[in-house]
Amino acid sequence: MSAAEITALPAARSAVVYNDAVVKKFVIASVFWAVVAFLVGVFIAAELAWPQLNFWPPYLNFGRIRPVHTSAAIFAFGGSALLGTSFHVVQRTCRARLFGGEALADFVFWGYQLFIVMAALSYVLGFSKSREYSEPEWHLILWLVIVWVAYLTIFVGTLVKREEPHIYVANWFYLSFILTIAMLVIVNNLAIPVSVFGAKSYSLFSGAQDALVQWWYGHNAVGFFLTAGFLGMMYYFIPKAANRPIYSYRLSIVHFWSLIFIYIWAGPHHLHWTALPDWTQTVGMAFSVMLWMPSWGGMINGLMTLSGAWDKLRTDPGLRFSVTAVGFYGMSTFEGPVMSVRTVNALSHYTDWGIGHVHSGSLGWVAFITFGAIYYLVPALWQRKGLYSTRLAAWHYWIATLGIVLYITSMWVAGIMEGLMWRAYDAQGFLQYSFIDSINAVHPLYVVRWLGGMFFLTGMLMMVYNLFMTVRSPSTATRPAEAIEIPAIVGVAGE
Amino acid sequence: MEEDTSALIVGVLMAIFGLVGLFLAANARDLEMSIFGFSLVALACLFIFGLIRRHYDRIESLRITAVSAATASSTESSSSE
Amino acid sequence: MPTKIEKDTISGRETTGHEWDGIRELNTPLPKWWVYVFYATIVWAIGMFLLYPSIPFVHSYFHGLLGYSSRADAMAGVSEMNALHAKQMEQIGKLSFAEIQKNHDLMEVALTAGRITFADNCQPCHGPNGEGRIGFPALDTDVWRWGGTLEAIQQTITHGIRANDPETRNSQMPSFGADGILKPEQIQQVADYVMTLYGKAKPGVDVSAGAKIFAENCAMCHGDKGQGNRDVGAPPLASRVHLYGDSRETVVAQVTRPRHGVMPNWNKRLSPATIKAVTLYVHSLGGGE
Repeated sequence: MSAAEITALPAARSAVVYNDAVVKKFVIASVFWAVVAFLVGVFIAAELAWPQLNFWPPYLNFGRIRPVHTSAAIFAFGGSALLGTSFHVVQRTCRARLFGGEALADFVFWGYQLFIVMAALSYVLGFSKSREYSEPEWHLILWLVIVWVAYLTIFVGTLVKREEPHIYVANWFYLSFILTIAMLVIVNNLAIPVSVFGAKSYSLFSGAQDALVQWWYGHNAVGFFLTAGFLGMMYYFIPKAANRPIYSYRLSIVHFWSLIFIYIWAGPHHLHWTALPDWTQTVGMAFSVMLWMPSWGGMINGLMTLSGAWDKLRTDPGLRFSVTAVGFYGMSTFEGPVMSVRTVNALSHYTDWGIGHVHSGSLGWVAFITFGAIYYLVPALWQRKGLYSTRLAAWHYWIATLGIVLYITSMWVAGIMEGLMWRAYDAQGFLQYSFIDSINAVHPLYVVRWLGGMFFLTGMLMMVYNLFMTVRSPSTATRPAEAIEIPAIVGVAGE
Repeated sequence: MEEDTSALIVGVLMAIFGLVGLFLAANARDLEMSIFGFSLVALACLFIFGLIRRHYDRIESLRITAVSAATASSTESSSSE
Repeated sequence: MPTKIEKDTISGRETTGHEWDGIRELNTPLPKWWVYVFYATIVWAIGMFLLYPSIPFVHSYFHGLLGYSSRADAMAGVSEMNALHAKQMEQIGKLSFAEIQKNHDLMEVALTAGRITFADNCQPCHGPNGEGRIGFPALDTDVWRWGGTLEAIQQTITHGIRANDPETRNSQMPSFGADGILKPEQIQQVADYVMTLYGKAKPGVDVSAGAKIFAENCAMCHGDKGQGNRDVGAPPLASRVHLYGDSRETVVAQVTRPRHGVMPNWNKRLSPATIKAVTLYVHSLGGGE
């Protein structure tokens, strides 16, 4: 192929009118819910350190507000980001407008927002299935399933009508996320309502089986919602921002298939040292350790795609967030398998180490990769020259990172302290410490954790201001409508 | 037109959801179900209203572009004379 | 769009030839270290499957070559810990308090067992050092409702107060206000008098009417000088230790509609030897008689 033919290629493509409106809606929603999620998180961290803050029982009780935070962080903030970016990515990598028309896309958006709002409201009113990350009662889950079917329809329909012959790797990750979450949500919510007109229901399962169903769900919610989905995000936004090719196609295939196969079996590691049978615990442990390299495949591809573009980290704070996210992803997906080993888990189970691990993953990986994507998307979608202030984005990065460091180190120390105190025996064979003793001991660390959360929230507020000004300020003048840019690669094989 | 078909199907479904919501709210045994039911009704009403509005906005903008194209060609033809 | 393989000058690798929205992929092979570590984890996993309980059958499961069982492991650990104090706890269960107190070795074990049992069972109500709080008696003072001797404490712990046990301790203060035994202004007067018993009376208030009401209604349980009566479980009022507080409102409220606390009976949860250990511990907190 001659150079002339290469430059002629963009003109040969027909212009597609993408549905950017729904992506914009989801981006705004994601940013809004991030503030809510972090604010509620800071409040419950404060409640743990200063219980007097439970001053309006039962509505402000820690027990009711905690799932507001977890659902807001995972489903409202994370979910809106996933749905929005998946719609953006599938359209552009398929060169096809979203299937199903504006109406179906808007239904997915508003239907999802209704689910979020109803779930949070129901928790505060005292309704909950008490299943972690699956607290909403049966009727809200049914509504979610309806919205999810519409989401799957749009996504698959767009893949089917694609103009590109092959399906880009980001879409495999997004599709596996959509399909697996549907399966997980349906199975974990198999329940019998007391009445079709009431919120209360009873699980179809019970006992240790019920526990395993919940944690098969819980771990795979992490694996497919928080991992596979956001890997899809990573596989688009890092190469776009870095303007570099993905490091290894082969690695993306192998780590994708091994990841989605192995993740499903890891659930029992949440139930080590419980009434769950020993053989089930071994299965969970073994598969969790085998999951280490498949996860690191994503990390390697994400980081190594930067080769040739590391200098961009100095100038692009959004890319800085994305790359740091991949680093935290690597750290968390090493920590996870380590904690899945029963011997380690004997120390870490029920302690704050688990919370530390959750937040290194959710703040370090999920939130940061989302920030990277949104800092890229907002100027692109609203056709602005760039961000209103890269300095403010840089400040956000450092404050947020400091917040993460405070959070996870305080929780590591607290967790190990708790684990050691709970297992300490004196020379006469009696337990040395009571549970309340360990609570007292970690109190200062709870204050540090709250402070870490405050920093993370502060960074988020900076982001909100920055994005608002990016869209509204005259200083970020419009840029021409997105031209299909093909990064210059010198030389063609065969010449 | 794909948009109109989509709007019709989604609109009918939303109407059904809205009616289901009304039914749930009417027979609700607890506060949560009644709020959920009324929210479905509210969402259905607002959403269908939005669909109708957008349908007519689309027709309107098509009409405007058609008119301005016709005006442009007529001024062209008149100026070329 | 046909496959168009290009060479990336920075890495020297070729692309796969596909492109999406400007994104390309290099055909870099799998990193060797990645593959080897992946294999190693698989080998390790197979090892775990062989050594430990792993594969389920229809009615049982593969127990693993090591024959490991977490339940057996836990029982072994508990037995090992118990063995360190089994002999002493057996003695503590058999001997009398006086004999135990004479034996230094037994007292050491008893106070340790008592401390940690107290910490996990009694602390939530009575406070970390037995200092009590509103509604939960302090155990470190010499003001006792039911007695502070070792035997009295043991009885209280074993059978509880107003608990679901046939030998539970029980006392009932009449609802002077709610049942209309005293009129509201009479309750106000007796409250003024009661506050003089513990030295918190407002100066210049005439308490003669209150004193008369006290003598006629309260003294038969609380004693004519407010010294209390352990036989009926009436707390001393002439003391600086208060269960519900010492404010005038608290006194009025308690006389109007008395609160009656409940303490669980621990005989169903703790062994007799353990209860004796806790008794010795509580007795040592400062108020033992």
